[in-house]
Amino acid sequence: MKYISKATFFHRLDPRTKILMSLICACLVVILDTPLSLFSLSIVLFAVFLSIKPPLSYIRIIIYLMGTTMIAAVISQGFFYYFEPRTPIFTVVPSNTRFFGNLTGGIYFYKEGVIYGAIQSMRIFSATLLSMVIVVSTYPSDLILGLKKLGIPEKLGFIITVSIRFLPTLGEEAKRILIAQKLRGLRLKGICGALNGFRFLLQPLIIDSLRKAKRIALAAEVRGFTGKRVEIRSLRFLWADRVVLFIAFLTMLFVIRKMFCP
Amino acid sequence: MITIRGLTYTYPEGNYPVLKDIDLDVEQGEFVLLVGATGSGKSTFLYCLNGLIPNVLSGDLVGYIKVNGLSPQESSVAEMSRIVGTVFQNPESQIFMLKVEDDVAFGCENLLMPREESIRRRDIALKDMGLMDARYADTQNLSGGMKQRLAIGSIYAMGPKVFLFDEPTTDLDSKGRGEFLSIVKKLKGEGNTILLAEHQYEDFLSIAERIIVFENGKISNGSFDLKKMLLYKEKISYRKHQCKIDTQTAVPVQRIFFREGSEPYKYLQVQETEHPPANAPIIDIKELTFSYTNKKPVLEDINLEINKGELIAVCGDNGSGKSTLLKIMAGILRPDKGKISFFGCVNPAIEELIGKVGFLFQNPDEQLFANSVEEEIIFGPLQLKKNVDKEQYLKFADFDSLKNRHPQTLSRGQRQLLAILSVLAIEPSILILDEPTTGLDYDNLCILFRIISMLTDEEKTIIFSTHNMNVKRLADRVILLKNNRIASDEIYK
Amino acid sequence: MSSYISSLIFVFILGGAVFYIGIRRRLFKRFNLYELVTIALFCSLLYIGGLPFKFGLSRIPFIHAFIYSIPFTALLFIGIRLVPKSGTATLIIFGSSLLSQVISRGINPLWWPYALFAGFALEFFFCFAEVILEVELMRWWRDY
Repeated sequence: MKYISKATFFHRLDPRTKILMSLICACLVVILDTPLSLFSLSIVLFAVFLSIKPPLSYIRIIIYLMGTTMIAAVISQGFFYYFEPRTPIFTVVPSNTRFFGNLTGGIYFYKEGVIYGAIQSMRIFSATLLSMVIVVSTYPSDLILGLKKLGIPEKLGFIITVSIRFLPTLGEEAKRILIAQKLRGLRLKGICGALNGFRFLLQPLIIDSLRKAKRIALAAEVRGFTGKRVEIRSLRFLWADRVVLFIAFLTMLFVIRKMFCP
Repeated sequence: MITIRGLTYTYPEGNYPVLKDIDLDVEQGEFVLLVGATGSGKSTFLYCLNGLIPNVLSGDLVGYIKVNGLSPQESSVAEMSRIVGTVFQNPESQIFMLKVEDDVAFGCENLLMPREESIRRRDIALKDMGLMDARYADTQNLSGGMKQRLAIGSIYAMGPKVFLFDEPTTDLDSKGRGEFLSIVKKLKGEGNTILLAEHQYEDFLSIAERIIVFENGKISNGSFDLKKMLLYKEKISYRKHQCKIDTQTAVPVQRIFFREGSEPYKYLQVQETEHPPANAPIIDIKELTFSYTNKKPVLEDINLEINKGELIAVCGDNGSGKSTLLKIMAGILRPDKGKISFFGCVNPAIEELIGKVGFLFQNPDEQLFANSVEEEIIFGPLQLKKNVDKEQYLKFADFDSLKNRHPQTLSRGQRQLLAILSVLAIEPSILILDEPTTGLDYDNLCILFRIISMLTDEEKTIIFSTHNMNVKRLADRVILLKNNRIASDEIYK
Repeated sequence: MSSYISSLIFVFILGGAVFYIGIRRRLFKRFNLYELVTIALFCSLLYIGGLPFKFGLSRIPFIHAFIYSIPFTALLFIGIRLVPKSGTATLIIFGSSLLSQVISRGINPLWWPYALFAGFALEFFFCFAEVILEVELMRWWRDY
């Protein structure tokens, strides 16, 4: 899931708004606990996801993920639900079978389990959906700038900028090292192969990274790096941001009020 | 502009000074070329001028240095960077941002200039360096020459009056070097002072006004006027490996040119025997097409037949598909269309070729992972369960004394040779080398050619790629790639 | 939920106290630029260190997380050995988690405390134990 440049409503929002929204959404995900409310949250987030016009492959991946999570959670919780009260929908092994019954206390498929599984899976993919929306619609440099404005220290911002910049370079190098090993006869299949591959990957990669680090540090020094920076890019709150934040806060207050005053 | 008196510098772990008592004056607007063998102190000298020594690289610095009124011993690197800009050898590690225009402005942002000032300087730098078209491009996808241009642009935007270049064209191909030369000419035209340290300095002889030769940390016999050097042009004879710059001394200077009769040629002239043409070609490529992602094809309609025992050079600019062709020949990449057959089997997977085809990547450091030179050479045969005589391979490159050293402690040229040896040790019938000559100095090149000549005697097929015009002449057959197709396929005898 | 919040509060109070005393007594050494860039490259390495381990069965997130702990720990400890200052472990772990969030997983501030807490024990060691051990050991050795 990478950044894709388009001109939708979400792309234009300030990154700080998106980060705060993800925080609020994360809180909502934890607080809400009825299937209906979580379902409506998921639907809203899915609509938001579709509004940033992702390519078809992304939509397919999301639907696949949602489907498998839902099925896996429902099945596992249905069988292994632990809290009382629980009412079985159907029975696989009744508890009065001679051997298995005593061992397991009977294997049933519980109604509460199904509901609980549905709740958990909807929580998981609400959180995932919003995270993906943010990643796909925000340029990494803007996101780091937003983080800096929210209080992350400058040096950490520099660290993340350098990591993002050199990630593809290091990735290509790791692939080339693995191919070179394969050509010299090293077997890379299976768990032993993977460990072997990792062991011989480590040395050249780290030594090369250290050499690179020295060069990069010298280049940064020569460009006057002291820690502080006056950036050209700036973030501005537009009316769209204020509206979105307002709506999010209202929802939050509404939910909390509902929680504490039933 | 630059005044230096009595400069002496010792590394923190060093026992003896790397720079000894150097005196120098450089006027504003001069172009000074710094020349000398590796380790003679050129780069160290440049680092003394921009504040990296003594602020970042500690050590013992003694002497009087003034660059445009500022002294590196009293000012920080950031303050010095306002008047002195440095461009290093590897453009990849000088780029920090994901977009070109952000990287050009990086320096100005660090100097805490107000936003409008940074924007103005950024736009001027983009225009002057010819980066306006690539303004919104991703920095990962630029060519080598463009990356170096971006690095220079980022320094240029900070507005220094003195430019220091530390071997800037070593990692560039001929096209990149041409671009770099035009930028340097432009910088000189604007009246900046330029100090450039290089091995391959012939390109700059036309615009340099002074040449300073470094030898063992000292400047030999003061600095030399170019006019004086041109007067002695006939005495500059590459054949004798010496360069007489004035009548009193003979100063050995590194070179990578070969003319007839010079050392490396001697080794290759040994094999006079004609190889009888093989019955079937060992590699047969028909109508090969390949593209990386569904974009423009990198190789189109390639037809090649390679016979046993040939020594082939593949040439072409960066991006013409040399590396891709070599990787397909090694089985690393599989063709989209067409077929390639090895020893008769068509389109084999890489697993079937292990042990029969040896491939060497451009960067030797990516292929050395053992803990000693000896272990590195035996690694391949051990994995493939072959028995080889490792002493023989150690002797090929005079590595007997270095048997137990850790590979990463060797010099660049030695690491390259070790990587070649480690691939040789698996005794493949076909050996493919991707740019084996970059980074090799004179002595190591001789060793390389000695090894190659020995291999061709044993009827092994060798294919290598290069953009060094002189080296390609040493091959039997030269294949030139242009616009993703084979432009020419000539056989030399 | 309540245990999450209470553990969060506990971490922040303890961490705050340690941080405050550390800065007061100047126990934290500053990082120079070379070390910062090394830490940055190690964050990237943590992200790609799982590359040889992506085969067949291990693509399932659950099993992948299990196997991924091998390269994660190896690289983390090499990184700490190379930059033996307090703050290294936290920066590497937090940096790599932020990196994966910015690039692929999505920013979620609720995950940050976990990343900050992960290197906590190591910071404790570097911050105090080293100094105390040295001072106390020296004193004990001298008096003995």
